Amino acid sequence: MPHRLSDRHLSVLALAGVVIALGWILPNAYFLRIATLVWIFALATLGLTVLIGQAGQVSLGQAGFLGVGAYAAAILPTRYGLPPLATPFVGAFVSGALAFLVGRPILRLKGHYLAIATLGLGFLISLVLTNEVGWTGGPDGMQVPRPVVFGVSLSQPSTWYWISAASLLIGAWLVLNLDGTTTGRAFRALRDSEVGASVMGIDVSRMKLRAFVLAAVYASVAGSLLGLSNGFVTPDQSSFLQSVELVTMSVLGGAHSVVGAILGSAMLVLLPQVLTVMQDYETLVLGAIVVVVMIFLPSGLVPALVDLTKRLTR
Amino acid sequence: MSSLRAHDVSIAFGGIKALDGVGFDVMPGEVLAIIGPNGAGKTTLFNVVSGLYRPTGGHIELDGRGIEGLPPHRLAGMGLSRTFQNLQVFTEMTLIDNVLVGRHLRERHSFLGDLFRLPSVARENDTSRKRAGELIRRVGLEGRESAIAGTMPYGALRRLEIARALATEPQVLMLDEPAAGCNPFETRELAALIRSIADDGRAVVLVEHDMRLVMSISDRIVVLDRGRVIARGAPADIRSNATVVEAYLGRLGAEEAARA
Ligand SMILES: Nc1ncnc2c1ncn2[C@@H]1O[C@H](COP(=O)(O)OP(=O)(O)OP(=O)(O)O)[C@@H](O)[C@H]1O
Ligand SMILES: [Mg+2]
Repeated sequence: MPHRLSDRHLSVLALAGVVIALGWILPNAYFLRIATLVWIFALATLGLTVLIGQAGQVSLGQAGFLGVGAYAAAILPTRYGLPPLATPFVGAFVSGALAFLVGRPILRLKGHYLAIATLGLGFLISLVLTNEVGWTGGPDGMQVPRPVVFGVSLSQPSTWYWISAASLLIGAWLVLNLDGTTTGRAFRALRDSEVGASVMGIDVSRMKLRAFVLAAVYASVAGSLLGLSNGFVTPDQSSFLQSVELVTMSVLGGAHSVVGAILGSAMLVLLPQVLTVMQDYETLVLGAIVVVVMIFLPSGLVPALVDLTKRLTR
Repeated sequence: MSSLRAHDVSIAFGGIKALDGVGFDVMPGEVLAIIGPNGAGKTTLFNVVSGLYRPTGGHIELDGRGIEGLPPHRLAGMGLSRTFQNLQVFTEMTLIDNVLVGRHLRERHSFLGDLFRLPSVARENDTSRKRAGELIRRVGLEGRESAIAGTMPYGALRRLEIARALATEPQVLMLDEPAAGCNPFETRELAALIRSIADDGRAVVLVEHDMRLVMSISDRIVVLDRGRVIARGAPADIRSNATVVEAYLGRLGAEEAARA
């Protein structure tokens, strides 16, 4: 269907337009840093768009994989002399393998039980990163060596803006690709009815595992980019709170939607910056905003906006 | 040779025997009806045969190969598909996408190939869409291809499940109460559809309470009551079988059967 093809490509092009425009407009390093964080968290959240939004499986341990990716960027160059720019790939491989091994048993669980099991997984990873002081530097975290390309050290905020933006665009393109393929349909089928899906010949546990591994790889690459662009990592990046934040980003924007993942991440990165003027009440107000959105727009911001424009243009 | 054969199948739930030594077989081109009062074990029998439940005893063969204990997706690959009494439609997907899911095993695909959208994806999609469109027409849902399944009436969803099951290209198709919620006109169309599916050379197992439908299209009938087979035979025999009339049909049902 040529019509569908252009839809997909238009979305990526529009996104590229926004990213490039912001790269030009944003006035200083501070804003570029914030935008970089949005792209990086959006990338991690896109994994959840597939896992939660398409395949209907919850993970409350996603920050664990973010942590694996971040510490891959820190540990591999310092201890094993790996080039820093190779670390996102190695980290993604490690996270994917871990998700594959752990996913097999825990993805048999459903609903709340799966949520608890993934929470436990994230907690374990966080525990290891905090306590293996000899490897990870413990609670204080560790430095991440800057990549050096042609004798130039990559530490400029603008450099990391473009690297993270390009990663997000590739990540979004891949997720959009899944829509309307055998795999994409199988994910959505098992979300709606596992029994129905299995009778149609879909190996349900295998499909869930694929979504889980994909989400882990996305989180891991995001974690590596976070470490590389910040120049340091801490175990906080793998904490339970960080996992909850990732799920919130996904659900707030609209769990099915690629644009929703980006919007949700933008809100959760930007609001705390805006709300710092409220000092002690910052978290309270942020929480209230999330609760209000979820009560009035239960399917998330982007689906609600799409509905609204449909109604207005009819 | 028979397509599907179940022999001495039993299953118990917490001490209650839902199926007790049930057997049946069905050949290609044949409609076998399984009837019986509410709670007789018809759906349970479907669940056991289609791999959702593991039988506590007995033997099930598909084209001569033992299949008990195999998961549903393997059975789908071996040519067995079914519909559900309590619909298992993909409610948030369009009708055409529901049917396309049935093409899962017919589409050559790989996870990475789909992720990078290799050119083969579009080719497979074209073939599948054509097939799915034909099936949607065959069950009488043309024009509603892009409606979201969850917004469609009950009777339409029953037919959607048939189209979806046919998309797997099954040798054996099991239908659990396909006429529930259909009006008399729809039921007549359904009868013709089911008969034509069998005439294509598929084996059809039909569970249905609508006696008129059962009597008009079945080649043979198996009657279940409280987990046991109480009668089997041609429609004419079953209609006049005293045990069946008493145990299952009751007075009202007997009148209905006589009219059918
Ligand atoms: N998963 C289960 N757990 C416990 N009991 C069950 C289960 N499935 C079925 N049963 C019991 O097995 C018996 C047979 O139920 P089944 O649904 O197979 O009947 P049925 O013939 O399909 O009836 P109906 O015509 O109402 O659909 C019932 O007593 C039911 O309560
Ligand atoms: Mg039943």
